Amino acid sequence: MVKPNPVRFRETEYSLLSSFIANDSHILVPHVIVQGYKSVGKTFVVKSFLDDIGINKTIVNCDEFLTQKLLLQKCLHRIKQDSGIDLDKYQQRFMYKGLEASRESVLCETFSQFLMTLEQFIDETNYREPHVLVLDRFDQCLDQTNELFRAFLKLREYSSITNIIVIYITSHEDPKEIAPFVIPHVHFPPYTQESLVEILADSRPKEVTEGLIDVSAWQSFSKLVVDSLFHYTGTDLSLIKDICSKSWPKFSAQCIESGQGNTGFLKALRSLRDEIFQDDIITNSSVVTFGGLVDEKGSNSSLGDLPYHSKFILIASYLASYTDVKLDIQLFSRVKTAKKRPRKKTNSSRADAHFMSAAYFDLERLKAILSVIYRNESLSLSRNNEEFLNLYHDLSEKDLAKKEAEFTYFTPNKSVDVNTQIATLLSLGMIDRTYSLDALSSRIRWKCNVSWDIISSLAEDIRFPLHNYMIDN
Amino acid sequence: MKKHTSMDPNYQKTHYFLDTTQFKRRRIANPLFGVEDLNTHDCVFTKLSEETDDDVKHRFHLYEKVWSHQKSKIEQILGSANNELFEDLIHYIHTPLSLKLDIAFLSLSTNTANNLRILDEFSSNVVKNTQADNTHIRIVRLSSKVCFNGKAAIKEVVKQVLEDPKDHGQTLQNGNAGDYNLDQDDEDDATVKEAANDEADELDNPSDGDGDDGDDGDDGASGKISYDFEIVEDWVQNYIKKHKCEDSFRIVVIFDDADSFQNEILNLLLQLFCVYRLKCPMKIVMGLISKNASSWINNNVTSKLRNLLLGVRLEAKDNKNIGFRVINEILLQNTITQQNPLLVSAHLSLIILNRFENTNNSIDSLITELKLSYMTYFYQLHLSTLLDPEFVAKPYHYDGLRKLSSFKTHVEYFLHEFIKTSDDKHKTYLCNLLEDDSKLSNLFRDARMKFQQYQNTVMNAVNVVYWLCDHRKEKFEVYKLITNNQLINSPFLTDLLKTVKSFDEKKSSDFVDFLSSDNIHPDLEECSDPDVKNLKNSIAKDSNRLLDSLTDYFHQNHSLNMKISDNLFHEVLTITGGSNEFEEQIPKFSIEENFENLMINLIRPKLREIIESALEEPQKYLRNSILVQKLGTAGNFHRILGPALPRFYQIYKDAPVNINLWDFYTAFKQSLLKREIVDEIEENYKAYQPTLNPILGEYVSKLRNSEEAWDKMTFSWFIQSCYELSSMGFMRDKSKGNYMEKMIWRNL
Repeated sequence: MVKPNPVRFRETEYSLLSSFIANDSHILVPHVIVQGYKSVGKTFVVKSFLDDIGINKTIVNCDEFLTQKLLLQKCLHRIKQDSGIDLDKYQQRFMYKGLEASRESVLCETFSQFLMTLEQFIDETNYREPHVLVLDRFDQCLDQTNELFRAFLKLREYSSITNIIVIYITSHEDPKEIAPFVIPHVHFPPYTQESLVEILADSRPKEVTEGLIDVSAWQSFSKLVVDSLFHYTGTDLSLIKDICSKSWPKFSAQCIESGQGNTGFLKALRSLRDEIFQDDIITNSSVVTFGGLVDEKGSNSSLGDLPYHSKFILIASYLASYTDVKLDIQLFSRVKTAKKRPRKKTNSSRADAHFMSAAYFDLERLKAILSVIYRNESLSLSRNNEEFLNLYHDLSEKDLAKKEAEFTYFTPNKSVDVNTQIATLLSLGMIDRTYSLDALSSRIRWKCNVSWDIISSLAEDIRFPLHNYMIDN
Repeated sequence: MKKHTSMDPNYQKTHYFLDTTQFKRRRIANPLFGVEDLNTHDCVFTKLSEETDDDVKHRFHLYEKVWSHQKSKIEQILGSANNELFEDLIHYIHTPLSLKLDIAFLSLSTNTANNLRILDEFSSNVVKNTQADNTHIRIVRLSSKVCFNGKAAIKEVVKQVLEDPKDHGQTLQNGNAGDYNLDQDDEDDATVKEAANDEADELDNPSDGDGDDGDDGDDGASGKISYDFEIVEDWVQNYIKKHKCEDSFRIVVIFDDADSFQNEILNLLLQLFCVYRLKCPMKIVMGLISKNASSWINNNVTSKLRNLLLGVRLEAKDNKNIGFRVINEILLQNTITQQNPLLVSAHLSLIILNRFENTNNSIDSLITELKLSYMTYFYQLHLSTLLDPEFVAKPYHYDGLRKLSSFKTHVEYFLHEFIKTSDDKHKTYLCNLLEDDSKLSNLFRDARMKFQQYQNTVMNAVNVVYWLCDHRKEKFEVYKLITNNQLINSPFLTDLLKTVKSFDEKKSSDFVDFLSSDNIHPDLEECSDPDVKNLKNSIAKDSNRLLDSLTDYFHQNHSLNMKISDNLFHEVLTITGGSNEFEEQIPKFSIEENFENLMINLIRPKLREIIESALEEPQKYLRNSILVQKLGTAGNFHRILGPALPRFYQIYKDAPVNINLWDFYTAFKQSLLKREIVDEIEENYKAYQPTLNPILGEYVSKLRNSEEAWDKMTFSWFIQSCYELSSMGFMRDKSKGNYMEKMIWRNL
């Protein structure tokens, strides 16, 4: 008989399962759907239940398999292995489209073929013991499974198999394809905040089990974590555990230093409050440098080593994407009258262009903008002259004018590298383009694919006055 | 500047097509020296001037010698640049697995080619390294191009794991795994055989003709689908059993360009690897372009997955440092040696520096550029053989030397002296130079010696400045300044000397130490640097006058007050990268920035620019003074009537992006002056009447009277011009309606 339930807070679900499934083929239901939000103990409960009743079982994690075919093959294969039948004695001959197939890999193209092979196996070996197939994370398969779901539910209708019970573990609502079927559901409600704390407090870290730290400190710590992050984590137990495991070492060390008891805990908390709950830890993206094992410094210049020109190209692409073509003359040309238009103050309710999605532009426009902004803002165009040469000391007016004219005509576009750099930026995913069959078509349009943050940090990097070239509405 | 454009040699360039059938015959027709048989000297260089086959060969070998020396140096630098990183990585791979999926975020540069090179080096490093601890590492390289979906990616992983590392090593760029000895894996053999059998089965079995699942190819091993990771699992189990290497076996999956992967696929793969890691010992290496791994994870990895990953961060060496190291070690040497006989000219140093700093940040292209410079130097200059002191120069070499502009300057100088002083000494000297080859040979030898001295002095100065500015400027930048004669009087030097003023005792004594260190070479075998010696002496005499001594050193140093091109025979002794003097001379005040792509610059014309300027000013080509001179009085005709295209282009230039065909035509027609044109046609017709079809005469008179004929003619011009412009890519048909789309961007 079923022994008392070992899983805390899941007594109801456990007894529900036991009423549907038992190690007795007469009282079996063919299908059970186990449903509940992630990490609420579905798989754990099902597994421990099946272990408890000692039934033949096959557990398949559906999200491991790339295709439905692979999934079905694995189901078949594992059912055969778990059935306890001696596979050395029994050699199944596979039929595939009326011919004998030499390899298993052609099998299970469709569900019916899977069913056919499974039925053949059960018939030929006279396998009658109840066998549970657990399809874990069935809704997270990489292929679409709604149709497969329906097909599985009709398993008994289309075959003579009577001893296979399928348990589907899902975390979403039922798909509409299976609406006509009446299937017992076992619903796992999320844990409450209190039960979450209790579960967490039960899994004691080694500092506590070794007696270095009082149990109460760990309990308070787990309560602290749950209380402070509950809005972010919800009842996701694994996430909370992960966060605990990341911040606990620091905290426990501090605790041991500060001494036992409540005061020690509070002291540790006070000194570490800002450190333990950093964004990195919560978003789980902290990475340590190899060797030194220090946390990475939050450097902002993620694109710092882009070549100087690429930075300009990116900025130009941003400007091309986020400024209106109509304003080009105003923003980029030297026409004086256009520039005199007074700037409007931001008081309209229109959304800031930075938040809009990027618009597509022509490559020619990008290049035109590039040569304008490069000419105007590039450091190096004038750097050499000012820093090293001081040419302006003894130049006549005429020479100055000549020099000025040269600056005006200068464009980096002549350098063929501009094209390769654009291609590099494209392959790095910073610029995006439309694709067309005609590779030379002018209809290929481009857009900027990086956000305002990156662009503004780039602009800061090369001291580019970005706001001079944008008009805020 | 505009004035010169038609004289610009760039405008004379055109596209060349190589007819490969010619190469089969191995004979190349040299327009100047007749047909040349490549078999006799068997190298890619062609004969210049009166060279014999041996001379060409010599020149080619000299090139090979010089470049291979430089190349081996470069390779040495590149090979050792990332040793530390590789050691760290291998160490990381050997560390025991954690409970989560171990993943190393490798911060590389933003240059994909560089990144690939580093990863290639790493994998060949692992394969080549036959130390026992690396033999059980399997490297799997995934690139975004291969992994367009999950299936393909897993298939690739399976393929690469099962592949023999020997073969794998050979597919790598630098893979030289010939000495790699792993006992032939019986298991592998069996698998291959089985696969072959299965392949045959598949052929026999026509039922597998579904077609819709063509990519579900069968790997064969124990009948699994090719993207079934269990193949790898089984293989790994067998391998571990066989070699007993549970602890040291690792599969290392390297994502070559993690940033280019589609996010979905990346996450999918990571998730699958998380599952598989339980059965196979796996480590992941992510090649990232960004230095900030945390933010990359935040942006690219799902929160569910992040729980399952345990990441560390490793950083590759900065590109820029390596690049400058390459330059310093191969270009900036004090001594002229047989392997490294050349200095970089001022112009070329400008180009190399600018391009490397600002545009590509790529070591590979830096190396290509250097190679190209050496290549063009040896290819186009027959005098380059003179670099070999053993080489016995022939008369035409001396003739060549006499034609060099630096030699002419030299001669002119003495000519002036002669005129000034009417000293016969100068006269005989000049006559000797012009007539006696042995005298010229001596001069050349002296010039080389002087050049060596110049080089040493400059390099010493570069090192001094580099030290003084606390390494804030790269050596090559200083070199560029000095060889362009821009250092003296520059604010940079003034600032530098200002900082010298504030040197304390410690710093001063450091400087003295530096002067006597290996970085400064006051004496070489053949020459010495008197200026550095003076500097040393004067500091030794009175260490408080450091600033004065330095100022004197910079200003009195003759070599720092001249351009590199002021040296006699600098044409032979420096490499210019194929830029000719003419280009250098045009802009009197050129912009310092120069991003010319040497390779492209050598062969590719600026086609569009040329067409545009030609259309804008057709006179340059059609009625320029040379043509008029040649045609004489006949040129009085065609005064107005030029080709219709330039006129058409004028209208096109002012048109909006979308041009209505009817408007376009009307504008075009109105821009033509009917009466003048008809007059001219008539005049022309009369001039050539006897040779022309009489129907034309009728037509001309019709043209004058009938509006319709005029319309017809202008319309035909219009249509023709339209087609011409669209064939040149200036405009194209809009898909709908009677509009043309303008394809050049002239609004700014």
